[in-house]
Amino acid sequence: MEKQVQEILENLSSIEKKVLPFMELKTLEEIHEKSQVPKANISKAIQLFSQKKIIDLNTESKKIISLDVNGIEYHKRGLPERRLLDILEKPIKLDEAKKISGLSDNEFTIALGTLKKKNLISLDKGIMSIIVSKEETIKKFSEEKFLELLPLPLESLNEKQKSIYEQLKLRKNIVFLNEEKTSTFELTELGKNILKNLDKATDSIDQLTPEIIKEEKWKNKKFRAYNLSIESSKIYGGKRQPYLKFLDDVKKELISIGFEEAQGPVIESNFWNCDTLFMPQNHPARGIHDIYFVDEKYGKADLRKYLEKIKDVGKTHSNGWKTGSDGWNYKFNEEDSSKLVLRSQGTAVSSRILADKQKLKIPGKYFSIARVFRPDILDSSHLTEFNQLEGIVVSKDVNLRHLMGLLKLFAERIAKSKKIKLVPSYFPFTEPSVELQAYFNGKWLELGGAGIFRQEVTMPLGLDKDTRVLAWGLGIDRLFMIKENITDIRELFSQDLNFLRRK
Amino acid sequence: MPTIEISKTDLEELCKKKFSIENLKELLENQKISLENDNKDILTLKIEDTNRADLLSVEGIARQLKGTIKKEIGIPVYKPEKNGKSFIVKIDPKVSRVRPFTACCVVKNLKFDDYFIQQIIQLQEKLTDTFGKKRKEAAIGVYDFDKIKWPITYTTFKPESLSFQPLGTSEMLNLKQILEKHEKGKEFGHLLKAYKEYPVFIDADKQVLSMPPIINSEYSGKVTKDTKNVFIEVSGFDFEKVSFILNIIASALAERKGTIYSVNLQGLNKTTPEFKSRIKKIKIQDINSLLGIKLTAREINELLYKQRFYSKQDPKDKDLLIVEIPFFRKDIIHENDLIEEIAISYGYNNLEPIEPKIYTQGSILEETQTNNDLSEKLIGLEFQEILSFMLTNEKEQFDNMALNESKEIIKIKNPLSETFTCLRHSLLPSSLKFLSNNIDKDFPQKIFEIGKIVVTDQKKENKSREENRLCLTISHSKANFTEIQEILNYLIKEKVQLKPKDLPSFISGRCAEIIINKKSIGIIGEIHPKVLSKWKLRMPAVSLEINLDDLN
Repeated sequence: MEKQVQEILENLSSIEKKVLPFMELKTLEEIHEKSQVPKANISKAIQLFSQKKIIDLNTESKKIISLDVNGIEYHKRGLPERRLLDILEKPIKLDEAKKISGLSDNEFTIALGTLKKKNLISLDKGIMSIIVSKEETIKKFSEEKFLELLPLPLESLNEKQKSIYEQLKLRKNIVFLNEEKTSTFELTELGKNILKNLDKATDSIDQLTPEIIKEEKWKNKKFRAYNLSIESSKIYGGKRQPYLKFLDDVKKELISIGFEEAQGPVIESNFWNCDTLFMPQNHPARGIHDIYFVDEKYGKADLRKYLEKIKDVGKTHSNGWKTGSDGWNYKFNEEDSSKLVLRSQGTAVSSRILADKQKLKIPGKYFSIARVFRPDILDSSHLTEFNQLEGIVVSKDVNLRHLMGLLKLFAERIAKSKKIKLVPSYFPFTEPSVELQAYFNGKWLELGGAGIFRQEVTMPLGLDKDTRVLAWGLGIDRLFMIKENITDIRELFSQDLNFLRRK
Repeated sequence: MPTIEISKTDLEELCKKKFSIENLKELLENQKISLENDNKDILTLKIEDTNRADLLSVEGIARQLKGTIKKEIGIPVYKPEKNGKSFIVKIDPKVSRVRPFTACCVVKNLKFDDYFIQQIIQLQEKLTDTFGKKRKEAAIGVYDFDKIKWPITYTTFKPESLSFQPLGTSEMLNLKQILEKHEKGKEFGHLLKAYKEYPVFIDADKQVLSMPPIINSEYSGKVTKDTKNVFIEVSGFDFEKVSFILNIIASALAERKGTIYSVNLQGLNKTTPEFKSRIKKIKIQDINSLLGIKLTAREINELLYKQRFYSKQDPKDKDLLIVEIPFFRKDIIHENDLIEEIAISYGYNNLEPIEPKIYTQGSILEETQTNNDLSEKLIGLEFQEILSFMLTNEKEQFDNMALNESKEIIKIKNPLSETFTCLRHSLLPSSLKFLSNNIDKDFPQKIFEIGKIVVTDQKKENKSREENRLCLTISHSKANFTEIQEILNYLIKEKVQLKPKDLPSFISGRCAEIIINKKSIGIIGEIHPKVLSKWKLRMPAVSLEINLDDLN
């Protein structure tokens, strides 16, 4: 026996041994019928035989047109144009036809267009009527005939069918192209030789089993050698969402410098979202262009618990109350305070922390990562909901320089940037206010905003005059994007599984 | 935030100094103005502090910068020429029903060119847009003084009883027609329509100046390159507001070396403009304590001068400063506002940062801990974490899930698009949506999300309740109930009981409520093929969704 034949015989897997005797048959199905080996195993064996040159394998791929999800539904219930035509016994108004036919907006538009194109109906002043004979309307559409013929190989289509197919392809999920592979094979000379000597194949070990180990059956036997050059199939491990993972790392940094995590509700009242932050009720950022309002049918916030605070906040807005401020000089409207909104700024969480006398520790440090909402159209630099990282330091012994020290620390610890710049900034609720800029790749970038809460904010919430609150917010979205080299902000909420698997 | 365009050359002429672009950028940044472009003479500036009406013009910005560079410090003096006899605006009591107040002035000796006209229009627009609430609370008119026969009367007319030729048109229209036909009439007409008579400025020759807050007349309400002297009026509902806005414009023109003349408002018993300062007293110690530095009274005074204030020690109490606040700084309402001015003048970058030595115990929320532990377990099971929006729409939450709309869903009053109209009441649709965006990716697909859902709850302060939930979904050609059940049992330590339940989103007989200690905490099941096809999914999928708040 030739060495090559011998080698192959020694290394045949048990499945190969089972399949090989049937390789004179012509198709996979026949082999399956005769051998009773599962089809998946047979096709695997065929692949291996081909690699070992036992057979000549010819694979032909055929493109098959099949019904897609909508196609299957239409096959049962009729195409939209058929269903529309069926209800047109007599002239009928468009909206009525739509109602009776039960078609979706999209389907109705297509059905109408198709029927008109086929010159079966006329449309006049919103009234549809059939303009052909009854017989004409019962005739099957060419599309219907075509769909009944499916599945069909793409190459078998005649010119007319091709154009119907092209038309149907434009419509949503009626047909789709499936690639079907068919293989033909034939034993090579080597294969025939091996088949002849199959009975001489030694009994090599395929899968090592506990039994073989226990009973030492492996002694005096050969292990079948695997073909190690075959590529394995791909697997994907589980992973955290990269942006959430980043937020988690940021949280850990903050905890390590003594910050306590807090949270608040995403549905807020104007009171917490704006009033407590000393934003006058006619402030431009409180309008429908900057805040999502909750549908009024759910009512208003129940703020009875905070009656006294509302009064004090109101007085502060109107005339400064006892905060030393002149106030905004207008009549505060308590009705407006109880309107419900989707939280538009994370600072709302800070006002809730300050107002909670039972829980608030002085000195204390708090932070929150809050989901906030703004009416914006999504694009590469805007989201309509995103996360804000904000925090406060409450103490009697802090000043502007401490705030600056804190910002410097954040830049170093969170943004890993040593070069920073602090510039004056404006927020309705802080004074003085600071903007933190950090130097990245030769550019100054806005990293966050901060300031000392105005007494108009802290005093109505129950803090005394000399308790200071350093407040800060960091642009974590931007930070993450820089870190991960992302230019489209929508990728924070990526819907692409490959992107997430890769990250 | 308002944005304005100014010429760098013009700013330099007003400041009597040339700036390098870097230097200018820094000077502006310190006044909370960001420079959006730096390659042309026309600079685009964003005024970050929305309360600074005085920075909405190149003249106002120049006034501020002149302080910083010490070309001119302290409060500028603008002295209107008193001219009570010749410049009178008679206020007819009838206007009190429509648009009760006005403040006026005359400015002479101006040199108009295209750029300057542009600047005046820009200032006018920015002031009326922000401080005038789109002309509702204050509207501004600028007129060619030399076409006016004094005195002027501010009165009202019935809509069809008076006609004039509105600015930019060639035909005479009555007041009603202007609201119907003229572009500005259509835009701002809603501010007058409710009234029986409309406000009008008209001169002694019965020539109409304007119908505020809509439109000037073509005759006198037009400023051209030939104009030398102007009459300005601001009308509205609050005298303090209209006179403040007038002061801002008048002082800007005074910075251009215009001569200001005051106008006597007969009937209101006032004379405008009045450039009056206010006083605030502030303790030196409070300043130093907030900024963490030690400044002397003298140093603070100098810093305030540079920011265009005036201040001196109180003769009776040397620890107290008396600060004079110019009329154009209405934004100063608290002593801390002044302290910030001092800090800005001192320079933020001259303040040495100090690390606060406050020792507190850091901690994360229990919820965060639970979520993290759970994520870790799921990653061990080869699940990919996903993150989706809380905002969604009824189609995804209900139609695509074969569900009827739930009353618990929270809808938005002012949605911007059909995609985001309500908050999610379940995570499962987000999960299926994710799969439907990935039908072409490798299977098996195993995903999870931990996140909040929101539903109505009338008992709560904010009429809603949030739940912290976990949703996981497995999809591949053989995904089945057993596979997800195994995971459920792995995740939950307590004894889990499954109670069969019919839910339209799932296959009947293959869906159950998850019960722990007699409490239902979620659902588990095989997704119904009709739901799969709604999402255009071609692979079987199994899911579970549980309320983590109920798990402890």
